[in-house]
Amino acid sequence: MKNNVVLKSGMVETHSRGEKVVDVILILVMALVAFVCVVPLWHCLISSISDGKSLMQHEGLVLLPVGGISLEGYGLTLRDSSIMMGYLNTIIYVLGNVAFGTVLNILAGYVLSRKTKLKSPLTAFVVFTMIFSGGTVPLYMVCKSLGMVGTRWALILPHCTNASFIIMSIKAFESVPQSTVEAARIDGAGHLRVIFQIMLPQCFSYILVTIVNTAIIAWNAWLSAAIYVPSDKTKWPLQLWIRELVANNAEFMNWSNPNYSRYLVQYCVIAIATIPLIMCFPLFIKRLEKGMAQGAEKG
Amino acid sequence: MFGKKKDPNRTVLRNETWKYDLKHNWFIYVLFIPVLVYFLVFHYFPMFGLIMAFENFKPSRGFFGSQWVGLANFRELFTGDTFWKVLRNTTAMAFLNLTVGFAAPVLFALLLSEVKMKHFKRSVQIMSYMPYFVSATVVCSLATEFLNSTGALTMVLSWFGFDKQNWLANPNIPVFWLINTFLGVWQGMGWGAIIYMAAIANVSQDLHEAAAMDGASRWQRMWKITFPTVLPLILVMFIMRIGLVFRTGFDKILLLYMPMTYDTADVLYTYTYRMAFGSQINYGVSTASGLFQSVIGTLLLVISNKISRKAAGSSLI
Repeated sequence: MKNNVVLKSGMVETHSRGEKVVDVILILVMALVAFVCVVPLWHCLISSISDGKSLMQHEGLVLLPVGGISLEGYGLTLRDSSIMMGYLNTIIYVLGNVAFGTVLNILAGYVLSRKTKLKSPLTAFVVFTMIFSGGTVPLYMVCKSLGMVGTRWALILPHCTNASFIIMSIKAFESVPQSTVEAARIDGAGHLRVIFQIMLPQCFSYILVTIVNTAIIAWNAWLSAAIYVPSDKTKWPLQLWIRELVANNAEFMNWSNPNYSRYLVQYCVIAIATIPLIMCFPLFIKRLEKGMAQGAEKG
Repeated sequence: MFGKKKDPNRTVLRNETWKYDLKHNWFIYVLFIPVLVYFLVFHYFPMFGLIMAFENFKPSRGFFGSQWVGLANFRELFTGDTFWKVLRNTTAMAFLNLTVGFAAPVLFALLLSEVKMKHFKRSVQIMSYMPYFVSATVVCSLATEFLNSTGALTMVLSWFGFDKQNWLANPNIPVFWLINTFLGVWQGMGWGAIIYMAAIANVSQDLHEAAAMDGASRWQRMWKITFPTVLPLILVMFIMRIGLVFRTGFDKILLLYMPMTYDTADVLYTYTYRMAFGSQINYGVSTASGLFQSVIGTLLLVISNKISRKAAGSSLI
């Protein structure tokens, strides 16, 4: 009996010591994952405030400013009118996508959450676009025949919403207690008043998830611009400038008398294109997390 | 404004007549018109535009004026050498995305949930989200920089005996596939783990305590309690992923591949793009290849949805 206890306590002992080792390993692995997630972004940020010439000769990771801190890259970037135009374009595209997308999401969410006779065929009409799509080239041809190619509209309208955002929006409107809607209708409120004064205030946090997602997608989009405004640089969003600058930097070495600070512009543009999203995301991360988890529950 | 003095019971319209429905809900239908127009123009017209795949399409002649060539575009597509390489690459990268890309967030969530220090856990989770907010162009410029002959990742790989080289220009078989998979994991792991973290947090603490009382170690508890409880969710997510695997995750390739690596990096998506917007334009073949990808994507989605509905009672659509 005594033996047993010793053995047992001994087992518990080694067991817990083993657990401590496992704990430490676990923490190290998780720290490594966090490091790998963050360090490339840090590398870019620190490169952007380094000295251009030293940076070009530097190999590997940049964790501290190379060759002293210099803000020349940012100076060049901010004085570059075409890049600033790109920033403005990005903002225009984000606002445009959010404005049109949100209006469509709200209308569709309201209509398809009402108990009308056409509810299921109309829902099927929207959902079918999730199952099958015409693809990039036919869409391009449709936009071309509408005269949208080469204009900003081509970067705003075609992708401002999609079936999954509309489904999210329907769920949002369905989450509003029916009694409040009926009470308002009996009191004489019209449909628009019901949408904006009764329902939206109650389900705004769900709608916000679609707004934030639309904004992130529009902010990071580059392919539509590459397809629809390939040569008109005044309409390029920031993301296309990043692609262009990265391609130019590859040829940097071949120039005879380069201005080394130009080499920094790539990093500066990446920084000004990425920092706003990274800075904003703590503001809405809780809501987005909630939205993701709920989406999974409802399947 | 619209017949609001009605008995509230009458808002249940399932058994009402069309006449009643139109009379009382006409304004609701009016509100739907912008949505209808949007989906018709930007989703249904392009579906109709797929007839391009059966035409010798000339933009100047439009959908109706172009010459009808039947299946000639498909014949050209399927008989070319490129197509089979492209299909192989697409399948390989989709498969890696479905296995490695899917397992990473699950594993990450399981491990991170085992961390006891609350603040550390939360910090790691927040940091793991960050790559998700980074744009494709930035991810690819980082990849270009980290994988070139003097890049940080190339250096790390050289510690393990790999030659220093520009990895993105390496045309050997699994190199580009693995790079693409790794970038997908880097961007999506933390974000994809949210769902599993939430599910794991909901696993009953009582079960854990009872098991610990009976002497179950932490790893036993993880595999015997936590894992089985979230397994249904994992299965549903996996089946849904099958449905999407042929359509998403290819956009970064457009930024990363180069003529040197076309043999291993070219996928249906990039092939479609190149045939329509590249230097040698052939709209018919491009649309045919896009249609091929669409059809496979649709088949996978419909099948995976059926399975998901049967197996787990929930589905994507």
